[in-house]
Amino acid sequence: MRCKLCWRDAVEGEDYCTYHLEAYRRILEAYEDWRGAMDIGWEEFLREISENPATGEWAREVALSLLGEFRSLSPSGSPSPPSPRRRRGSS
Amino acid sequence: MKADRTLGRILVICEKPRAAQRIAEALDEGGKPLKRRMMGVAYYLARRDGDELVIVSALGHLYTVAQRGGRWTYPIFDFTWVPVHEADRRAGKRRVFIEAIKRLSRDVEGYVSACDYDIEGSLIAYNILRYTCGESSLKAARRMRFSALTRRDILRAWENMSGTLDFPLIEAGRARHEVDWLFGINLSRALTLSVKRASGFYRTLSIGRVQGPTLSFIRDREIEVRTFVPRPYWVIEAEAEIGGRRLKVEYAGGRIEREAEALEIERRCGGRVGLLKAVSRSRHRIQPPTLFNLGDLQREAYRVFRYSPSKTLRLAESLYLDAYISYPRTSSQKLPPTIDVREILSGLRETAYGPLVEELLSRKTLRPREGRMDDPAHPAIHPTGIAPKGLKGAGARIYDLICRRFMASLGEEAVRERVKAEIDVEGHLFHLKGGRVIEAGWMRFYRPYVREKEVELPPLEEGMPIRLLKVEAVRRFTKPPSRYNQSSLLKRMEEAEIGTKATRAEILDTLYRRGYVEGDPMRITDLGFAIVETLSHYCPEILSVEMTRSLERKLEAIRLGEIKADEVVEEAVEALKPILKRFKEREMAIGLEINRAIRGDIIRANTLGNCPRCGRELRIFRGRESGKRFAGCVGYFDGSCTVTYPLPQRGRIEATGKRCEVCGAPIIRVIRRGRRPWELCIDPNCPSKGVRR
Repeated sequence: MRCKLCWRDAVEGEDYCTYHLEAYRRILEAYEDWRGAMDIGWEEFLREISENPATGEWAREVALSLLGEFRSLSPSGSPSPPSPRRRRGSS
Repeated sequence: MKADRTLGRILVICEKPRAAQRIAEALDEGGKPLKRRMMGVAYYLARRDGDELVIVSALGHLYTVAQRGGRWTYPIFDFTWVPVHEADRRAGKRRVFIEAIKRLSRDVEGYVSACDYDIEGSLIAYNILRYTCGESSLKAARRMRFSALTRRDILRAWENMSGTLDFPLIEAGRARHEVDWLFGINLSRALTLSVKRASGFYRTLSIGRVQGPTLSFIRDREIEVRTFVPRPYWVIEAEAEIGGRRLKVEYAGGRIEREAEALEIERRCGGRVGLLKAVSRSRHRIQPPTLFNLGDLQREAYRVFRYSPSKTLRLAESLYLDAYISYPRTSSQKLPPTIDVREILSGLRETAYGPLVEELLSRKTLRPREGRMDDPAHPAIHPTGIAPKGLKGAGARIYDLICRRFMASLGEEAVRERVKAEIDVEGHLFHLKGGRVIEAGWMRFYRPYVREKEVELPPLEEGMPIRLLKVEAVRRFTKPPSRYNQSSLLKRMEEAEIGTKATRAEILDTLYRRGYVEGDPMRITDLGFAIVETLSHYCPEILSVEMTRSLERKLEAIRLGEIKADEVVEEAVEALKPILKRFKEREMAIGLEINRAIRGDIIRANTLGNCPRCGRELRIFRGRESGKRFAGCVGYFDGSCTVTYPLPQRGRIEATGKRCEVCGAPIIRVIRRGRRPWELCIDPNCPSKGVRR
């Protein structure tokens, strides 16, 4: 299966290739740090990093994709990020 | 070589034509050797100590490693040394050099290798003697060793030449060429043939034992950059009013990790008056810079002129051939005491450096500051003392850099005064910092290239009240690691001990030429990614620094006479066999993977932006009948969108990622040789063009 965001093969059981999966893992780690630093929710965090010029392009692609998913799946907003498994099941 | 040795006719082999002329002029007793031509190749006749010297040059390497018979396939372990023109059709000019040297070597009684004193130079002369003049010439050959092409250095080298060729150096050179050829030819063919087999298309791909780890460094850094997620932190930006001046002050606590804490400091300190608690002054001595070795010179030239390492090497070699500087391919940061610094400086008296030179010459002792690195064959790069004539442009800049660095290394320490004041505002400390150079020392010699920031502070007294005019908690973000540029990558290669001082710059050029990286700082392309990914899957050894480093050490051991060249070459063959076997078994899968990346790169290079009408991609296409290129929406071919634009037919076209502010169509960049690149809106009917007209 192809990665959701590029032409590479997806890692088995995941939506993303190895690079986008790494970017996703880093986004989750960063979210914890952001929450420790300021009062911020998942959607706002994703918007912030997707607009930040320092964000790497793979991380930005994942953030935009998660932002799209988040807006279409939970219009009311969910306070915590979904895990990769849950995301896959829901898509 | 003394007159009582009367050798008669001696053939002196030099590496390049300009070096041959210099050596001939230095060796001829009258200083005027006779210039002759043999088949169009210039050579010189000189007289010295009763001998007739025939001084001829090569054109770099005249012999190379090549496959012995067989087809364009892999694995290939059967090789031989052949004339370069037989292996590379573009090297036809070298054929006449071989022929000319062969004729000139008739009736010769002695041979002298006067090529550059390093592995390559020794190998160039050895191959010419062995394959052009005949095996017997090797026994009658001697070696000149010099680090600069001045008359003084050449004569000293002639007087002190060794009785035989430098065989350990030659063996090390031979092994390096053979090992590099074995890795390069087999792996490059494996990559190229895998793509051809999978797609039917030919595309030259290459990888080598140094190229692999180097590309891997760039890939690893690129992953760091592309997956980077910034973290927020806060800094307190503050300004204070002192003596009628507004000065920036720094919050002593540095970065603040939490927003609430930063806002609290802002609230408590804004507009308040603090007290100057303490003022400290300290003096720091800054040592002169060390002498340049090649890596240092390449990095410094990149920093100050943005010259690529290969350009710097080319320019430095040209300065060496003109005898303005010493041999540049050196690792040494040291200058042996046998080199007369005063004599070099005296030679520069009549140049623009005159006043600086006089100042140095007025000193009792002159010792340059040396670095840690050494090179048994050559000293650090230094001017020879021959005043350059008519030096212009980039060459003049590199010469200036080398000269000033040499003089700076002889200068005394510089002294910088730092002032730090502590301001207490509501229990929070702020720092006011200033600094200035109070004794310029060596900096006077290196002035245009010195990075120094001067901040002078007004008079400060402990206990004086200081009002903070502005206190603001500013959110900042952590930054991703920097991508490699040519200078930092060169340093990384040096640290990893891969490649040599002479080959590293060339490897960087190859990465660009093959389309594995682009831009500066270097970005790896999809093709570059695919090459590293494929190799890390099927033959990770090729990307491993350890394997390359261990080979480098073995090559060094050959030079020191500790192991035999054939053993190392045999080891390389044994290491390659299982790698190539694995590659062959998975050839189709590898080819498909790389081909997908090549197609991705082509599509990306041809995509100019988004269609202003439907938002899909605008790409470069070629008309079926006219063959002319144009930009069209990807929906053009299925009829869903009819947007097309004509394009300039000459030059390279790149996307800029920008959109025209007037009509919303993409802005493209056109790059034509010899012209400054220009940007334009892709739409010829865009009203912005009318306005400009």
